[in-house]
Amino acid sequence: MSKTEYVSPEGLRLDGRRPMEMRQLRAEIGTVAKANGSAVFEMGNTKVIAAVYGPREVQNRSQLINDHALVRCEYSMANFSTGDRMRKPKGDRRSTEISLVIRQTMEACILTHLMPRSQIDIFVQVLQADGGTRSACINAATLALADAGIPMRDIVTSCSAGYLNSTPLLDLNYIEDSAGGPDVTVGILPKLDKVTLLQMDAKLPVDIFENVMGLAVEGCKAIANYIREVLLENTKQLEFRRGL
Amino acid sequence: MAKPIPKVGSRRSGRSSARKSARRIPKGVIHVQASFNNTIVTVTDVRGRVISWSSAGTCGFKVSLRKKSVNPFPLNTCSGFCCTPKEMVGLSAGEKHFIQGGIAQDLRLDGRKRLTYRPIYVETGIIPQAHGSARVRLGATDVIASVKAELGKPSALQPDKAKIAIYVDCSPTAAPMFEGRGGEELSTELSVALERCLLGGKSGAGAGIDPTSLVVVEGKVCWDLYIDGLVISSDGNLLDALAAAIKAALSNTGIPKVDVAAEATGDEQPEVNISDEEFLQFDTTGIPVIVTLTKVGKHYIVDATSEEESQMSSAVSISVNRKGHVCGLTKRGGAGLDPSIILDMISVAKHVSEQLINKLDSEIAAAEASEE
Amino acid sequence: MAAKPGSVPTTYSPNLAQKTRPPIFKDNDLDWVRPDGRGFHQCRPAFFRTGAVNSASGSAYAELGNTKVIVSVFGPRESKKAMMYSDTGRLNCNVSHTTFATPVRGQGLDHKEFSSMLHKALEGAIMLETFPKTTVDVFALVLESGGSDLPVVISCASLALADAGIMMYDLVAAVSVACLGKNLVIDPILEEESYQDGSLLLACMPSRNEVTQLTFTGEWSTPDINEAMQLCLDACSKLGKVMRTCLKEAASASQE
Repeated sequence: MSKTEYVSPEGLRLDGRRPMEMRQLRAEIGTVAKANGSAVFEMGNTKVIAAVYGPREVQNRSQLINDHALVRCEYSMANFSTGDRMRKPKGDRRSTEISLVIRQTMEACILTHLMPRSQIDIFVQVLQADGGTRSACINAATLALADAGIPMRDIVTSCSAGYLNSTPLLDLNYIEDSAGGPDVTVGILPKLDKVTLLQMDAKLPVDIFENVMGLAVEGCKAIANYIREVLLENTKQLEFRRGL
Repeated sequence: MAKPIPKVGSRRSGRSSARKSARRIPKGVIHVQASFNNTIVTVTDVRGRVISWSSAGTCGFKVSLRKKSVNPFPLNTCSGFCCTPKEMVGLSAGEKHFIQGGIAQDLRLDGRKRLTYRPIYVETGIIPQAHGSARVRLGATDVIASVKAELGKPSALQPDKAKIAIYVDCSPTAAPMFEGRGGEELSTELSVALERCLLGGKSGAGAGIDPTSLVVVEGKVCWDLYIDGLVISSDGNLLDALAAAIKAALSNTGIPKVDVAAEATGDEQPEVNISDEEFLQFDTTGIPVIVTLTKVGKHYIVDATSEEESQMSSAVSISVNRKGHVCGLTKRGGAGLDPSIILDMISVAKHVSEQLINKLDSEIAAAEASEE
Repeated sequence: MAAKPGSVPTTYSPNLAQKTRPPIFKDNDLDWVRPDGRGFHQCRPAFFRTGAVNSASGSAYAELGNTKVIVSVFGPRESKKAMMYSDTGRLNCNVSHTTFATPVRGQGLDHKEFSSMLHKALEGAIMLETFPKTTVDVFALVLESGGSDLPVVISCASLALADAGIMMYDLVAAVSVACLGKNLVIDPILEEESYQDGSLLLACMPSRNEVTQLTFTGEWSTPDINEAMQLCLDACSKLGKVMRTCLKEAASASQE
C-alpha cells in the first residue's frame, strides 16, 4: 500500500485544514421539545443529537441509589449515519463501550449528590459520523444537560487529536481516523482545568504524546469557549422571552 | 367450556412488590407547595405519610414557565402525574375533559380546528452521505428520512423489479421508553404501515415509487432503494410526518446515471460504469401522502398531538395520491368502527389530502430552492 | 381433518344484493378461472373446531382450503412482575409459522406485523376491564400457509378466546379480498396473493356491525372500496354464523 499523504508539503490536510485547525462548530439548543434538555452539536460533517430526561423517578427500583442520582446513557447510530449503509442490531459492543464512556464522563461532572433517589437519562443519537463522534457526543450531552438545568461542577468538553506524517493533527475526520495512526481523545473540565476522559489507541513516544495531548486540550478549551457562548446566547434568548 | 378465572394476587412475595398503586386509600391529603420557581404536590395519607409526590419540574413545565406562556393547569397535571405516575401521557381527568370538550367544539388545545394540520417545515439534503434526505417537522414532531441506492441484482422471481425497503427507527431521544429494544415494536409497526401505504400491492400496482424504473439491465442490475426513517422527537402523528419526509427525501434524491459498458452474455454480470456527474431525478408526483384521522369521542381530527392521541378510541391512516385514489389504509387503536364511519373518514381524508399535497409540494420546492 | 357429513353446512358464500358488473377481463385472461375452481365471490369451505390443545385454557383449530391454523389461549393469568399496575387486562398476541408452512422450507417467515395486527383486531372485541391486573396470551401457529393466513388466524383466535371463556362483545370474523386486474377475488389463495394488485383485509364483529381491523394495500378507487367492503362484511357475517355453530356444537357436546 502506498503511503497516503495526510499532510501536503504546503502544510494542508486532506480537507484543506491546517494541522492545528478545528472543523467548523455549530450547536443548537432545544431541538427535542419533549425532552427536559436537548442539543444538536456539529463538528464539520459529524452531527449528533443529545436529549436529557430527568431528574425523574427511578424507573427500575433495583437500580435506585439512596445517596445520589443514577445517570444512564445510551448511544445509538442512525442507519444512514455512515457512508455505506449498515443495519446493526442495537447494543453492539462499540455503542455499549461509547455509552459507558459518555456516562462515566458526564457522571463525573454532574452534582449527583444533590438529586438522591432520582434518575437522569442521556440519549445520544448520531445522525452523521465523520470521525470524532465520541467527542461530539460528549459536547452535545454537556449542552443538553445544561439546557435541562441539571447542576454540574463545570461543563465538560472533548476533542480528539492524532499524529500522522510526523505532524500532530487536531480534530481528526473519518479518513484521518481510519488511517491507523494514534488517536487521542481528551475530555476536560475547562474551569477546573482537570482531565476527565483520556483515551488513546496505537503507540506514541511519551514526549510526542504530551504534545498531542496538549493540542487536544487546546481544542477542548476552544470548544468550551464556543459552548459557553452558545449557552449565554440561549440564556439571553430565554430572558428576552420572559420579558425581563 | 368456560373455565373459572384464576384468583390473582393470592401469592405475595416477601417485599411488598404489589406496588403502592394497588393499595386503595379512601382518604388522603394533598399538600401543595407553590413557589415562584416550582410547584410541588405531595399526596399523603391522613396521618401525613407520603404516598407519592410530583413537581412542576418533573412534569416538564419548566419550559413553559420559562417562556412565560399562560398555562391553564400546571397544578392539575402535577396531581395527575402523582396519582398515575406510570402512565405514558399523564393527564388528569380535567385535562382529558378539556381536550375532549375542545375537540367537540372544533377548537383544539393549540387553537387549531379539527381538520387543520400543524405548520409543516421541510428541510432537504441534510444528510450529505445519502442520495437523498429530508427532515420534516410538524409541531414538536421531528423526523428524518434518508434514501440510499445501492446497485444490486433483482430477484429471479421478479426480474423487472428492484427492491425497495423501508425501515423506521425510533431514537431514544424522542422518548425514554424507546431505550434499548423499547422502540422496536413501534418501529416495526410504522415500517409495515409505510410499506403498505407507499409500496402498493404485491404485483407493484399502485405503488408511489415505480420499481421498474430502477432497473438498469433487466434481470441483471438494478438500484435497490433503502429508505430509512428516524424519529428524533415525537409529539404525535409520526406516520404522516414520516410519509411526508419520505416524499421530500425522494424528490431530493438523485440516482447516478449508469452506463452499461459491454453487453454481457449469459449469466455474466455486465460491467457498469457509474457516472458521478449525471443524476436521474425521481418522479415523485405519484407518491401518496398519509392522512391519519384520530377518533376522539364522536369526532375525528387530523394531526393529533400525543396528548390528543392518548384520548383516541381508534385511528385510521389513509394514504391518498394526487389522483384522489386510496393507496393504502391501516387502522390503529382497538375500538371498533362502523363501516359507514370508515367510508366517511376515507372521503374526509381525500379532501384533506388535497390541501396537504399542495402544501407539502410547495414546502418541498421551497426547501429545494433554498438548498441551492 | 374434514367436515363431518350431515352436519351443518360449513361452506358459505356471500350473495351480493347488487348485481356485480360483468367482469372485464384483460385480453389474455379471457377464460381465467380461479386455480381451485371457485367463483370470484365464493369463499373456501371453512372448518372450525374448538378444544384442540388440552393444556390451554381455550384453543381452536381452523382449516380453510390449504390454510391450517391452530390457536391456543392461556389465561387470564397474573401479569409479569415487571409490568406495572393496570386496571384493565392485557392482551398478548404472538403469531408464528411452522418451518414447513410454506412450499419452500423456512421461507416467508417475515411476518413480524402479524402479531400486532392480530392484537389490534381482537383488542376491540374483548372486555379487557373484566380481568384487571392480568394478561391473556394468544399464541397462534400457522401450520400450513395457503393464502389469507391473517384473516384465518384472527377468526380462529376469537373462537379460541370464546372457548377460554374470555368475555367478548362478539366473535371477530375476518376476510380478505384481493384485487386482480379489475376483478375482486374474495379469500385469495397463496398463488392469487402473489399476483394481486391490491388487497383488503377486514375484521369485524358481525352482530355489532363494527370493524375492528381494516387494511388496504395498493391503489383503490371509491366504488371499488365500497364494493370490496360490502363483500367482506357480507362474508364476515356468514363466517360468523359458521363460527357460532361450531361453538354451539362444542357446548352441546360437552353437556351430553
